[in-house]
Amino acid sequence: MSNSEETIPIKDEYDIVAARSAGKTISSKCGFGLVDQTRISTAISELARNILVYAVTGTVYIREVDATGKHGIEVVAEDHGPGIVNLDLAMTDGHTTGGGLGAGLPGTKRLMDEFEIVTAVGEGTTVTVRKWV
Amino acid sequence: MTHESELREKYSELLRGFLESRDERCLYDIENISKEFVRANIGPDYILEAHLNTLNEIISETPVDKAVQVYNNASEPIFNLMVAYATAYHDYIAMTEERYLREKRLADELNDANRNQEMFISIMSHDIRNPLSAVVGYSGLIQKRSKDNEKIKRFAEKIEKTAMEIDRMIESIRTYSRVKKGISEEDFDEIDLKTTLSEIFEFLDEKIQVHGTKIEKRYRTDGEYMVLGTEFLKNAYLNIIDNAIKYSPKNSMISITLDDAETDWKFGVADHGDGISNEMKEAVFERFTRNDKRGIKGSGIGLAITKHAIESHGGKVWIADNPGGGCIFYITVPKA
Repeated sequence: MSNSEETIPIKDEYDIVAARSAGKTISSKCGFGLVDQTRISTAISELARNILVYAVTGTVYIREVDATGKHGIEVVAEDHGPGIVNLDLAMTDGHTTGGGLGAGLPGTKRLMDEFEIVTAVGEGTTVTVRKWV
Repeated sequence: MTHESELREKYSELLRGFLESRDERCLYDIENISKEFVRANIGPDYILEAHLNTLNEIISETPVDKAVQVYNNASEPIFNLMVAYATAYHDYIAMTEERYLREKRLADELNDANRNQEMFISIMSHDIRNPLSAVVGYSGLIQKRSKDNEKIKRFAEKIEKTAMEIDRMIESIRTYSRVKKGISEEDFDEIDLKTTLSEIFEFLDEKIQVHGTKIEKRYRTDGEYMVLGTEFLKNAYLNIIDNAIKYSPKNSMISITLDDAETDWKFGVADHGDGISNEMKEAVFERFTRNDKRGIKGSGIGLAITKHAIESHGGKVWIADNPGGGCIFYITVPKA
């Protein structure tokens, strides 16, 4: 059985729903329970929402991944927006520039097992998160 | 409808919508509404109650053979709500802590700054006043011993007067710092403004004579004008009247009024000086601003003290133009 993969361009809220939907199908196929599926959906929502708020458009890639002795899901959220000027600050709990509550990056990190971020001012941001079954 | 019941209603609708259509959009909206719950400070128990009530309603309308399926499907929306709620709540706590720490840091800094300022003022006034008393003392001696040398006598007199002027300035800076620090509750006493004004005119009598100022008093009633006041408030009235005399031409008329203004007593002093331009009407109450008057002595903080003192008594002070030329200072203070 080949690993599933989905690419979802993000340009409005309907795309966030589509990304969540794809995330749920793949995470269910990976063998995640309902609670973990919910965690993954919430994380996808946050990443996709960040794209809309800060970069306006971008792409979410969702795929099944295998590593030595483990199986899971990987979500990559990529945009060519302004990038994050102060990454340390953005990763600090309680920091928000979007205004108001939003789980933001620290919240997303907490929901998943692995979290990586690459950002360059003026070039964009790529966030990669993984969760293992 | 309250915000609480509105959100509850919205959630019920979304739950129904999801159970009918299994549409992912409903889950996404539920995720968003969970942030609203956090913002509105609505607890998870309340949400769970709303969830169960709605679910029971739906189940009661559902054929028995499908009820179990509906029940199972309903766990997904509530999981979504709870995960999003918890994530947003975590953020909320972190934000509140961050804000608390920031505010505490600012408050500490402000306290330090205020303490330093007070300390500085008390050290400064002490350290300057000591040598100043030597200046006053020795210039007095020079005046006494200079016998027939009128010129030296006059110079020594000038030195003495200037030193006294500096002393008064230091005193007013000290008063300013004390008024700013706030007046404690024990200082308040019931005082009658009419009596206060008589005392002030008695105190200023010599100045009024020298200046040839004529005082016209128009009080609304003959009764008492009671307010809750302190020495600072009495000084505020004194300062305003003293200013009116100081800035008026010699032999001119000053009108004093006391009126009933609903909850307040309204005091006015109208002079026939040069008046104060509109852009200066508020600025004169700032520290070290003076309506340009050469040859008139003052530290430039008298009106700042006056304003702080009046406001500490729940009152107001402002300036209007006198239709007959000059200006009118008004003070209102709540009746006791």
